[in-house]
Amino acid sequence: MTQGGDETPAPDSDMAEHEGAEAEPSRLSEAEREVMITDNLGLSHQLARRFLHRGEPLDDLVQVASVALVKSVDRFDPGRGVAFAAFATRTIIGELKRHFRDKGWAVRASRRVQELYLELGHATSALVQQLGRNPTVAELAAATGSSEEAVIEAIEAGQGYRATSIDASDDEDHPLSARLGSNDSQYQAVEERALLAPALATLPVRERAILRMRFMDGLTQSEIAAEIGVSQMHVSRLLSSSLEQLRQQIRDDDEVE
Amino acid sequence: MGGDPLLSAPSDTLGVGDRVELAFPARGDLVVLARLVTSAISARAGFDIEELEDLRLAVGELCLLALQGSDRRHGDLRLEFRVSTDSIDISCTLEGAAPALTARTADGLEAEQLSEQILSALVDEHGREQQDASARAWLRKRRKGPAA
Amino acid sequence: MVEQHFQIEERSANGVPVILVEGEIDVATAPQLRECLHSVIAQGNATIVLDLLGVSFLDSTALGVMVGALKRCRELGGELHVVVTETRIKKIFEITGLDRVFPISDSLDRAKV
Repeated sequence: MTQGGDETPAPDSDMAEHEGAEAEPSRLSEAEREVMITDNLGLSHQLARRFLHRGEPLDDLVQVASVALVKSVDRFDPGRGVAFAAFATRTIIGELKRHFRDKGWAVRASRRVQELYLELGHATSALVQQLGRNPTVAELAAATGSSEEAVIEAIEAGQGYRATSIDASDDEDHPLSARLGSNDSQYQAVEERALLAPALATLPVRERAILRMRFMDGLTQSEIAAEIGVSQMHVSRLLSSSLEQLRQQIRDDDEVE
Repeated sequence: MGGDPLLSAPSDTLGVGDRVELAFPARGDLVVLARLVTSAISARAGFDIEELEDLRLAVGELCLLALQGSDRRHGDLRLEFRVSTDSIDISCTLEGAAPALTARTADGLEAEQLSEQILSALVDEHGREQQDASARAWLRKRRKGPAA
Repeated sequence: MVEQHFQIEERSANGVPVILVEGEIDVATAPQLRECLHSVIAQGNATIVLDLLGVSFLDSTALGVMVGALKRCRELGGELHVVVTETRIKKIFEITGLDRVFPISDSLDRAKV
């Protein structure tokens, strides 16, 4: 399961091809399959825990994840160059998500409430400035063009006004996983690493080197520029486009149906 | 106010002297109902959103104080809301519950102290009463600006 | 019965367990947080980061659970760090004086674990 620089990760259409290719015998021996399953039970368990407290008992989630793990091993084709951990992660998360979809669970507040949430923060700040005091629900409702019920519902759904704006725009301080767009990923969860590594392998060597210098060695853009002999502007552009490419790759990888 | 009361009263204010009651089974997972109703009533009584948040939290603590020392398996929590010219009064009464069989845990005593602290900080007056099988906790919060 | 927004995730950063909570921590949901903290500590972790960035509501039961866990962590020679930025939530720590008890920071990086 090592990610070398020479691997070409399979594009996402391979998932669909795998579905159809189930009739093909697995290229792994029985012993190898068993080892893969036992080796990755920890991963499947950890992925199951990510869905804890949506109301399902842990046992059920672990069962879904374990079945998905076995499916992953059955479907895995080492010849395709995708690391097993990444492949299994996608399959397991997909199965867990489907588990909830099939149950018809409303996991999040309605879309209207979510959209209102985005507006409430801005509307509140604007009204505080304008009025010199906190607004009432009636004033917020008028400002956002919604009903008072909707505003109260948004507050109750935990999406009320935010007095501080957590728009940390200081790029220099954020680790790689945070820059990839997940709100709370300052952490290196096993599954994120598993998704990240094959995505990184899609980048040319120089871009990978720049990312490593920036996020692992902690060099500033100017230091990197000096190191590789280009302008700091150029480094900045390369970083942006590399991160965008990674985002795309991971987003594609993460959507399992 | 003259004319038809239903038509002349603005829909977004709770009139002085209006009283709202809410009762539900005395279970922790239903306390959220108290917060919901408190939000709605406070909004209509003209409190701003900061005060709304204060009152939501405070009413939750009232429910917890009323639930203290009960077995939390029987009984009802009954909330009463009264709006006056200069304040809102909320009380929470636990009715028909059996006393707790086990002594309160250290965590429980800690939480009770925290409830009192939170109420002291967020509302103007609050108190508790205990009578046999019923416990009552209440609060009063005054309006900041001119009365509605 | 009434759907409440509440989710817990366990992750780790540099070997330190990080418990991320989202939504409302109140009398109904605090027991789940207690269970989670309890099991993380039971696995042998004395130092834990509690990420409350996504928390929209906290009451006395939530604080009680956190204080209980803090005590256990310190007994084991560790610490319970809290990460929070939401003004409303910080206010609750402040009015109970717990802002001087818990090590509180506004990001994981600054938690100095």
